[in-house]
Amino acid sequence: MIKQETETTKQEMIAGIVFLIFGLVIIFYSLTKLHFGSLAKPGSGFFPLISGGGIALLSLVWILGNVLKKLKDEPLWEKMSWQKPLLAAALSVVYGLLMKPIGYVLATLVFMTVWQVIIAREKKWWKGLLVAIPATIGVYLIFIVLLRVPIDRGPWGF
Amino acid sequence: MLEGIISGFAVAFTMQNLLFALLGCVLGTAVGVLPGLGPAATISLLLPVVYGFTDPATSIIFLAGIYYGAMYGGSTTSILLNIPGEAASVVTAIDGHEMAKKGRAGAALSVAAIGSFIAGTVGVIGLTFLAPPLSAIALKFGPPEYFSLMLLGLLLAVFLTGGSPLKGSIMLLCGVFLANVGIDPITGAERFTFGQIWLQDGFDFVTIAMGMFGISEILLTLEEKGGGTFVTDKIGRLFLTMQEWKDSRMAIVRGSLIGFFAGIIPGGGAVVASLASYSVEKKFSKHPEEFGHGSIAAVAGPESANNGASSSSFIPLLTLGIPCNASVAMIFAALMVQGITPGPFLITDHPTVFWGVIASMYIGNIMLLVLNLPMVGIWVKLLKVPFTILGPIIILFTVIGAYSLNNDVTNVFIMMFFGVVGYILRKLKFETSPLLMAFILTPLIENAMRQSLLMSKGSFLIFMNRPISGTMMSIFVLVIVYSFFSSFLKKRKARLNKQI
Repeated sequence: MIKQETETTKQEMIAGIVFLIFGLVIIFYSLTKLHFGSLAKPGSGFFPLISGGGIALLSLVWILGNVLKKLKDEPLWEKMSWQKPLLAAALSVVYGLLMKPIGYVLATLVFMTVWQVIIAREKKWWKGLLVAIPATIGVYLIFIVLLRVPIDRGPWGF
Repeated sequence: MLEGIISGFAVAFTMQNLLFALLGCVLGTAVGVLPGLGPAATISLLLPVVYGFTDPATSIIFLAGIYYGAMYGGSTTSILLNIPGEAASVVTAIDGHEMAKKGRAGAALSVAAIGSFIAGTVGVIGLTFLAPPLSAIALKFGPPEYFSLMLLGLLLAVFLTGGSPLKGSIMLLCGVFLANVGIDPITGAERFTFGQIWLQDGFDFVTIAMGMFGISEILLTLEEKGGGTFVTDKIGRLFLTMQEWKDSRMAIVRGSLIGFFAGIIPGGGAVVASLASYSVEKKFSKHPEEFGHGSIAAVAGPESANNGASSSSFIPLLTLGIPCNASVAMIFAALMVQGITPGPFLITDHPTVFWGVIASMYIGNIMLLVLNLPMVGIWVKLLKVPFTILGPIIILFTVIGAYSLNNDVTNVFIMMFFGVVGYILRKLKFETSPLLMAFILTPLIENAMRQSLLMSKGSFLIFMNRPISGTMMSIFVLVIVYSFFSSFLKKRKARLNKQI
């Protein structure tokens, strides 16, 4: 009824290896930098060692369980489908960076407009602005007026 | 108890709490209707907002409304678009959409809403009666019992949420690791901070939650092209015929009970409940061949079950202080931030919060029935808002939310980092909820373990010797053994089937 994917992909295998390394790094750090303590009085390295050890062990089990199988190659991104997510992530970071210099109102306007133009492929930039303005007003009303979220105002007072 | 519930209604009927109950239900329904964004992601988006609330009861009423509201809304897209609005409505899409194709969308929507209402109310009644005695039992819990219970809860959460348990466990341990970053509260030692000041406080769960649930969801959706196939704008009559009611009423009853019990088990919850209900209804049905082709019982049962579970999943939270799924875990964390530790003392120390929330859930279920039946047309229109507008608006919320946590853009970076990581992990079919649950529970588990070992002077036997703790550890071991065994058997069966 609910289909279960039982074939492992090459990409998942790589993830397994990454996790194994990650776990080993955690173990290394815990043993060298942190104090393990004793069973009666566990120290700060106790839990990290368990988490690192567990991650390493489970990844190893995963790798060994799949190493003999024929692996599917299922690339994470087909064609150029990574473009939009990347742009969105980058734009969001820029948005965050713009908050202090130009204030959240203008930053929101810029964010929404640029999104419409670049990600939504809106050809006319003023149409993007048309979408951005109500959204910005909405954000202002909900976050600042209604919910009174404390947020820095920009150099121009808004 | 009677005076408790009456005082609870007094709390629930204040203007503020009624408003936020309504707001939560509306938001929850909207979120449930919109494919992609689920209750966990939405609750995470609103956590920065809830921090500012003065009354903790209002926070929970609001967030709880979102949670069980989403269970109501999820069925709408399942039935009309064959796109589940959220995980617990996947099963509804199977038969619900078939019913819609046959012109019976109205009946499907009605039975989903009515069943949800009945199950939700049954769940809250159960909560009302079971919570006080359970709190009394929980008072006997010491650190070993809490340790075992939380461990069991995390384990069950990994095994029952689907996907590979191995991967889920890795996610869980990553959550443990992330929780360890920062200054160790007991010894004061710095863990994994690499000399960076901004890492000393550790990660904020809101940032991780918004990133891994909210941002990753948007990033995933940005990859795809279009929406689903719209069946019809017209829903048709909403009322059920006598025959339809006869066919579905026992399914609703069974669904409510299944949901109730599935919600209480740590790690269980709405998804498990809906799947279990589907299987049960198929067995009980007089026309099992109809399943998959528009059987109304296949909609009534699972929809009731997922709502029953969402109500009863508050029981472990409010009595034992243990959240059993990601959404409730975030409500738990929100409570902690407001200075309230959920647990057996909640009912005595903060009775207004305890009973206020329960009373509000009765009201919420009524609100949701109204929102989802006569007003269902509005939600259908909501689906027409293009993602190019909704997507950035959601990101807007997350960025402002993250930024406002301490007016620092660092949180935005951290959130985006986890968003991208979560996005990649989900593409690799790793479930992110165990990570978040482990992140929230690890400080408590670590504390409980260290205290227990101090009590027993280093002996791990303390977890087995005490009766309650021992029972839970045994279940823990049994679950692990059973899952290995059953996956082993499945592989054997698959190999045998191939040979035939």
